[in-house]
Amino acid sequence: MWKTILRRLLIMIPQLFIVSVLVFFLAKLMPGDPFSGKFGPNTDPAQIAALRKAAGLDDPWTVQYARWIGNAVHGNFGDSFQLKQPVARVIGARLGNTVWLSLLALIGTYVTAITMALVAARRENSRTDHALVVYNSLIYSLPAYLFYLFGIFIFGYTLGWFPTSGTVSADANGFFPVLGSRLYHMILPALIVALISTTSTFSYLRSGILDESKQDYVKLARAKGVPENRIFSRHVLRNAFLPIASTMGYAITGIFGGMIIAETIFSFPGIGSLFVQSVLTRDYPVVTTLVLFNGVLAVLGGLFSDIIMSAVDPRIRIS
Amino acid sequence: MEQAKKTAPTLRNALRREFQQDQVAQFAIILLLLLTVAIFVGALFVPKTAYTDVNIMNQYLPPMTDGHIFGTDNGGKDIFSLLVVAARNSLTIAFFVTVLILALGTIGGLVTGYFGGVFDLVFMRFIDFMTILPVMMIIIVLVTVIPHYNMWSLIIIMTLLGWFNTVRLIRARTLVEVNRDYVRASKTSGTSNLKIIFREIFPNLSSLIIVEATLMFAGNIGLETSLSFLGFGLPANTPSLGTLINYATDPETMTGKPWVWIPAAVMILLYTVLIMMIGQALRRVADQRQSLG
Amino acid sequence: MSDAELLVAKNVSVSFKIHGQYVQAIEDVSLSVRPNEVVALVGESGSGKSTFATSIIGLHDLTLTQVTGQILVNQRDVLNLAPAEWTQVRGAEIGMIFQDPLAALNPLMKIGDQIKEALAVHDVYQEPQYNDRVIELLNQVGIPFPERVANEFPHQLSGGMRQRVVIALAIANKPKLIIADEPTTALDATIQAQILDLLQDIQAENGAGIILITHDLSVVAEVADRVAVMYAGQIVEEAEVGELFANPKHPYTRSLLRSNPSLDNESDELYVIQGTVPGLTHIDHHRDMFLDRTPWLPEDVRQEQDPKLAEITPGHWVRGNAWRVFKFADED
Repeated sequence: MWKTILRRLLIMIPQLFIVSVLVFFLAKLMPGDPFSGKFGPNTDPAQIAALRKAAGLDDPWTVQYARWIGNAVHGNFGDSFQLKQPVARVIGARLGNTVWLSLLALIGTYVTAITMALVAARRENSRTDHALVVYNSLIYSLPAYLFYLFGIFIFGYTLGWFPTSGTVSADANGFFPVLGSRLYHMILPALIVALISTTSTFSYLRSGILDESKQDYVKLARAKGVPENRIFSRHVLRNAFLPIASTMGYAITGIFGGMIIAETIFSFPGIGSLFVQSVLTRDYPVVTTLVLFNGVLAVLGGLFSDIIMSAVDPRIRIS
Repeated sequence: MEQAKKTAPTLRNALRREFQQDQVAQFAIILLLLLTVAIFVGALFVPKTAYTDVNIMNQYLPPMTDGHIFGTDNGGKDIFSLLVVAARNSLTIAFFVTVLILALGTIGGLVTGYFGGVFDLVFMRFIDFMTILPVMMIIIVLVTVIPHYNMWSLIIIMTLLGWFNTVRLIRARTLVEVNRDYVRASKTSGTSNLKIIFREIFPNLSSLIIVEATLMFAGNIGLETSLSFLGFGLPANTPSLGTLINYATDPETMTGKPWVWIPAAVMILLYTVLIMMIGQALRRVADQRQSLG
Repeated sequence: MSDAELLVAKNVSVSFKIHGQYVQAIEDVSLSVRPNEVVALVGESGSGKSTFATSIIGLHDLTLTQVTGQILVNQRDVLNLAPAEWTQVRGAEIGMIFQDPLAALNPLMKIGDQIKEALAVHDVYQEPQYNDRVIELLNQVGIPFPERVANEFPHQLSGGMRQRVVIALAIANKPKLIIADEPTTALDATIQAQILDLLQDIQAENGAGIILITHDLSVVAEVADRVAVMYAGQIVEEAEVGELFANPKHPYTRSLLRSNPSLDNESDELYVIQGTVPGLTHIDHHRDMFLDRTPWLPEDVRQEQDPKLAEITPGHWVRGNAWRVFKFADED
């Protein structure tokens, strides 16, 4: 198994390299540089040009890239145009919020999807099964923002059950009240995200259960005299879960992508809404760093999936 | 006993039969066609002034006042006109993106699946890599930095970043077909590769492509409206269903003036559901043809 | 009586529900198996032999299948057993060997664990004995380095090894009745011979009775004591193995033997039985369906109504009367 992990890690290096190069060129497409906002109309253009040169903005691209990567590895992503602060700090302040929200949403997604799949597979072709399949098709085809908006409209404003923005109440004091308030603010967005993201896990697990049930090794287990409930748990379910393991890594990156819209609609101060804000305000250092972050996360997600797969599937682990 | 006639049903016949039986799909396709035609024809009659002219005096009129069926928005623009034009725009974009992605993806998938070899190895690694990238983020960035931005820029960006999954799908099916006897027979009899790919393999993919097309169309409506909703879709004066829905982000508009954004939301809901119903029928046809071989 | 039959199947008929209607797959099949006996059930695909095997061990789909007749395993009526009772019978009184060893083993479970599972659901062996029994079984089926193999996964073994494991699973609790469903079909010819030898060894050791399902006549000649030939859901001929090969009577049996390539045959051409096996919905059990494929025979012979199995010589049963006048198309 360690050989597989090593191989995956090695593949990851060129992938990370390509991602960083792509992001670098994306950044170069964006107009403006660190000096765009720092001077008034009366500054001597020659002075600006000299400053640019001193900052290394006239160096060949390979040098600039190397410098950028070098800085990035040390956590220096430049300064935000808008906020006049290091990008790292700007992102760091919000990262935690997104992580918590994503975690809650992911847990909700898996719990819901697995429950639905178990019910649907057990009652194959029944009304319940059809309803669940149709439900999952619907949430897959409809755009997410509709659900968020209707969710806020119904549960936030009309029914008043949940807060519709922010992370914490202004008047919460003390550890537990603050924690409680934070959770309270995250419930609605996490819940809605969870309920609309179940489709791939649901359909993989459902068809996995149905397919494995028809396999010969299940028949053989019955022929051995193994009782039905054990057949389901030890043979069918365990084997049906396998493909889900491989999607977990990608689920992580998928969630982060979905946060862009979710956080914007819920006015939730995370890195998703930060991204949108930064693009709108042309704060390119932040934008670039966020894209880089997401790209790296995607590559890591792939690695994570592969590792899980080889840990869980002996056919991959031992070959 | 009468021997059943053994003719492989052509796609058209199979489709016709399925739609004749499935009432829901019948209803859906008729409604969809009527709606689409109404939108496109209606859009011709909407003067540009209806959605570019700002008339603060008429701000936020509720529905059915002054001849505004759905009321007006914060600039006094008639929502109904906006809706029709926005729907036309969103549908047009989704349509073109779908067609282009299918074209690119099908050709890519067919070629790489058929020829295989080193090209396939390298190409698929490239595709695998591209599928893990954060597509939405990249689209958003590109949309803001591309100069001379217009509707076609959006279409091209969405296409270039969205064709990878289609390649996978088509390639998988192509690989199955390539191993079939009829392809082997054609190869040994000397038929040119191009002919085999486009005259023999491609038609067998047609049901797959049609099902994929419907799903993708719905998905692209969703994607474009999401982008416009965030403010990154169509340029300023071209309304999209997403820009209309964007009004809902203001809490006052969301609750106090729902006529501004709900029609657009309902329109998207309606289209997606109708497409889904049609898609189900199409998928049934595709599955049947698959099992008939 | 030490020679009491392990299996007595009388007038077993099985129907499947297809598109809402019941279609009969096998009709009025009777078979019995004694200890130390190998009964071969021969037929092509679609003859119903696997269906019969499945119904003996109760693995048919209860919602879609109707089984009538009488099936006694160790003198116990199993036709109406409750699922809880079946889990006690399967594995302990009846063992089943499956055709495709790769598909028949759980890919995610170690070999040793799969065998232990078979032991754990019955009381024949107690838990402290499990590990020893696993090694003992693997040795018995001829697997080298059993300690290592017990810790491995199915994909790490060769096809022949896997089939040996499948056999080990079937005999883990020393059942007296063993159903072997095409045990060698998925294997290479050389391995086939080894597996057949293994089956005979096991029979000798355990005194088991084996139902061997196969379409391969050479396998039958090698190991069987008695043979029942099936076509379109019915038994058309049944005899002791030597007698069947020496004096085949039913047209189908004779055609099968003739189309089997053998070194004794002088002609260059393979004999081909014309026509095809009828699909389930096209079978009429009131006549001998095989006679549809011998159009050169007289009409009244072919249309014989309800041909019955009759004992023409002691122990030799043939269905119908067509065999009396049967000749091949190219015979005089």
